[in-house]
Amino acid sequence: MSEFDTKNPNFDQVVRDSFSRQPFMSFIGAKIEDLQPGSCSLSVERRAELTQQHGFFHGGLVGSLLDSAAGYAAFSLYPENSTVLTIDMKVNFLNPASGGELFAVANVVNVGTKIYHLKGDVYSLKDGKKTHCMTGVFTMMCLLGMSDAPNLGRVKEDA
Amino acid sequence: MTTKENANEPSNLGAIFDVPNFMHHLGVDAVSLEAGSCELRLNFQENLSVTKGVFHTGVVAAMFDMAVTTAAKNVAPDGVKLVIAEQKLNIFAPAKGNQLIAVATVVKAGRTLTVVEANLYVIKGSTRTQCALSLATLIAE
Repeated sequence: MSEFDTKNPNFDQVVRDSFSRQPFMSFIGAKIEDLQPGSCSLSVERRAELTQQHGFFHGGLVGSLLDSAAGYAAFSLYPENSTVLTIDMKVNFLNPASGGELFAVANVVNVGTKIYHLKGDVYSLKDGKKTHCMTGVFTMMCLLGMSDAPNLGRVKEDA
Repeated sequence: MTTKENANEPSNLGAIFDVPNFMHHLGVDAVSLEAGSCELRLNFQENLSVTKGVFHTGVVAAMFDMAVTTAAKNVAPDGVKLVIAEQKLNIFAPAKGNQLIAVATVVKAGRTLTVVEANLYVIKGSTRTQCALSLATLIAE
């Protein structure tokens, strides 16, 4: 569990609002399971569209879920009027992500001025048994004074 | 668990620490060695620094390499040779202090691949601060 103080007393609402505005997370059916300052866990249920040719959850999806969990674990500590971007991630695949559900858990390890370091793990759940599928390390940037919505002003929605 | 209090004593934690290798050259000492985990330490020396009082990042990387390899070899079956396939370092702060401590833990020991995580701390006076972390994959040859 994370032992960091958030700079935003409103973090719970801010993170959940941002998560709800991520079309990709909504597309895969991801949900926030737990949210604490510096810690976030997400889940996703198995659907055929999320699997690869062997029937496991697609590796990219496993990494995406963990990336989002890490991003929001970092974002939960950020001050108001800021946003988060992943600048680096490295993952190790430990076991095939079989099973009916995935859980991604990420925790902040170090808080810097602009750069936050995190660790995260993904577990799959099959017949009540947890399997460790992925572990990873992440670097997240805190963009101060930049709104979290929408699209950092870079992309016009109707372009 | 084997624990050694005096960092200056020669290590007796197994043959891997008794050969005149790079670890001995740097002065790295094994503090503990358990199934799947290992703790190493290294006292500050001026010739290991680049800026005054700060361990060179190459030394930080070497500590990680030694810690993950030692932890992984400790769970490998007899006769299996493990080599590092890849390793990533995340560095948060300069390693400035009197001593470096590397703690490595095996995350998964597979037949072919072993994944090990490691944390690096720097001791300054009575405070211990984490300055880096690493995630590595070793392959059985």
